[in-house]
Amino acid sequence: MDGDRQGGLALPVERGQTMSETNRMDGGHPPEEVLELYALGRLEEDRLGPVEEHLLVCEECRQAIEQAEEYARVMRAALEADKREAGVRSDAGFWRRKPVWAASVAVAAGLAFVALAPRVTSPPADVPLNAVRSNVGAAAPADRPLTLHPDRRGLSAPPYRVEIVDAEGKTVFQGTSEGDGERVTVRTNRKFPAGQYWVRFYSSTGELLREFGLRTE
Amino acid sequence: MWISHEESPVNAAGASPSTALSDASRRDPAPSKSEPAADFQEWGALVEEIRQGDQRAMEQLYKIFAKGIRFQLCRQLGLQELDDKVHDIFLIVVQAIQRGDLREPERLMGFVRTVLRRQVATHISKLVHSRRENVAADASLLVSDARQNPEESLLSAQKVQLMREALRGISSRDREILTRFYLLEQPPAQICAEMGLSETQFRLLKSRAKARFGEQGRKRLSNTLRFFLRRSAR
Repeated sequence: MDGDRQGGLALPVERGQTMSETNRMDGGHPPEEVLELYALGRLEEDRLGPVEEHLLVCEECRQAIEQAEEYARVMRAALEADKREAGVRSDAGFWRRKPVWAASVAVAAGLAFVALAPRVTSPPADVPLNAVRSNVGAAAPADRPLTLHPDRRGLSAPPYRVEIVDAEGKTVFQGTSEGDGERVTVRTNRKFPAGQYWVRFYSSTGELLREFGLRTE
Repeated sequence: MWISHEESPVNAAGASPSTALSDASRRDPAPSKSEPAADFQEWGALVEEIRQGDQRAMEQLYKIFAKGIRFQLCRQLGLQELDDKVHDIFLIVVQAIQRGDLREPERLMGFVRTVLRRQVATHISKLVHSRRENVAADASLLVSDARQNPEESLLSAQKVQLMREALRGISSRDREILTRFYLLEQPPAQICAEMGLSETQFRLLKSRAKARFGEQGRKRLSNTLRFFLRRSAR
């Protein structure tokens, strides 16, 4: 809109306002402020007449109205976007501004996790173990407790003492098999990082009966 | 002045308004870019010529008001059947003038506005009635798609980005004032009272924000131009 329209003009008045009169025409055109209020649909009813009559015959003011509408639309969109962004920053800033809160909540969450860990951990993964020569071992997901189902054909009767060692031969798990007959399982209550392991079955007298390969990944 | 007497001699051959309208529609209806309001005597002369059935006067009337009527109809009713509505209003105005219903020719602009408002009200009333009565007959109600096309959407997004960049350069107080006016739609008087501003300060603040937006646009345009000039120089 023309900057020279603003010279010496009073502020527009909306419904119920007590500001100075603004219906004066500036060189035959309504003031920019009045046109802006008209564009925003906020010019009061009894002041619409002169503006609408003028708009019937003035292309320049019609263009000014369209520009004011577009400007207001863009301004609203920008302010809304900034507001949304500020809201997100403010939510994040809560934790930065409140280190004591953050620390307390973190500790509480940690304690809760430890207390509830056995109940909330992932279910054990079932792993069939096969004693086949040259087999590099059964594959199992890493970092999960495992339930092993050994192929015990040819073995003596359970129970068995079970030992799992890592690639360096270091014992990482010791336990006893469960079940009898054909349905023998070994439940590990710990997780195994990705790597190569060996599962060894011992008899009750400590004799090594069989060794299975196990790969977690 | 918006009308020249050399251009509108009285034509004794009483043309019908619709003939005059179709003739005027065929020609370029664009009047000068900015037509100051005519003085009363000129409105009086035009009205008198229309009363006498002067076709060129009717064309002149159409030239003067068609764009303005279109503009206001479009704002209030949208683009649907816009040309038909403009023609309807023109015919009503011309017929009313010829019947002698316009007793004060100097009030021609007000008269046209009144006809326009009545037509808008009638149209809205018909629409409301039609929707109430013909809920099931949805085939008769066609609504134009007002969504932006992809190019418009992109342009719009760029403008909003420019505005956000412009807003980053202003104080939080100024931003609050703009938010109150544009987003919360508070009246200027309330904003001035609550923010301790004078009318002038409020007006200047808005002008500065507008100027900053324009400046941001110019900067972006010059960067783009520089980019293309560099590419074309290679």
